[in-house]
Amino acid sequence: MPSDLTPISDPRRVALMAMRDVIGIPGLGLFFSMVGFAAIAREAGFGLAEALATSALVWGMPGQVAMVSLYLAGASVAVIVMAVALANMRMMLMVVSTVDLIGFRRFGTGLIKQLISVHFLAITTWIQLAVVRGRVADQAMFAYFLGFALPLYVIGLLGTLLGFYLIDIVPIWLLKTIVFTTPLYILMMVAKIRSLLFRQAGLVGGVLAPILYPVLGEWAILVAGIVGGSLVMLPRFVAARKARQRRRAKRVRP
Amino acid sequence: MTPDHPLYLWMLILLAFLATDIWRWFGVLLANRISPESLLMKWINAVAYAMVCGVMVLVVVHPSGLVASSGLLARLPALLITMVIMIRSGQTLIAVLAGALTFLGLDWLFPLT
Repeated sequence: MPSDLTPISDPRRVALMAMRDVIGIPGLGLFFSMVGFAAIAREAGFGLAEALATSALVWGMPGQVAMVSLYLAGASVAVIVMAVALANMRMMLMVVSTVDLIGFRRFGTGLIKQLISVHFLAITTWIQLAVVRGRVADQAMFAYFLGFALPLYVIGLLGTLLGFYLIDIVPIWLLKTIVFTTPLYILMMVAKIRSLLFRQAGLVGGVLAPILYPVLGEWAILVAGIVGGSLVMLPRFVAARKARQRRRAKRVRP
Repeated sequence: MTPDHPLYLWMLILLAFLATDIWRWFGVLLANRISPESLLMKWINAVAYAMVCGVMVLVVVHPSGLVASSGLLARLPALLITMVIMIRSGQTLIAVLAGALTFLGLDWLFPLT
């Protein structure tokens, strides 16, 4: 098991390892997701510059797809912006988790540096950080983040750029299959993380979301997340409460 | 600004950027106020995992975009095969490739139209 080895702490080695990890399913999946995005963006009437700017500035697939499809449907600005905000709300929790994984707070990283870094965060990067934690030393996690997130960003923009033209060449069945590998890959990565608690949370959320979707639509994701996360945490909350009560009882006795 | 204004789309892109990064910025501010060892931090992580898995399973069950042009009969067995191989072998790459091939084959056998 790689987790038994001493964690790698040399930042340069860690960054190189991260770059190697991008190549493969993470990079390929993201590249073709962006190719798919460019295809629907072009259909919606976006120029190349607009599609590239959307990928670069929004950098979050669900929000990008929501924006382009609502624009195509002729929705108002307010509706589009609300939909993008809703689709990307989960970013907040992913960022909290990432800041924790990288240890920004522990190592006293400046706020501006943190704010800029998290722009480059994608689901793929976050789950990768969770999986390599322990293999990479805590103080080198930021180097891993940079080595993974920045090449992935370039790959994503290249995908958007080439997608504008590739879409006429690449057969749809191939494109569709590669795009479909991303959810499979992310789900299997969650299955690989060491924390049993978080794996259980993922399982509950994954089961709840499709059940709630017919009733709640896009809100199903938020509700499945909060219910799933709270459900697996319940035993710990109860234990913490009991511990607090015991402490209080002890304090009263003497 | 009306939709036929030349800068309409650019304004929309800028607003979409703000509507996304505001969550990231909130995340940074929030993370810097929560102790890494606290139960609240654990809860936020648990919710994040549940949410991301929810999003990913929804791509399989109710996809939008390109994948929507395939049937559930291709997508669901692909997920199941990926899970079974992952549980049996622990090999992410093999599991995901097998899932992708299952999807490809079933989508070809049972096209949506």
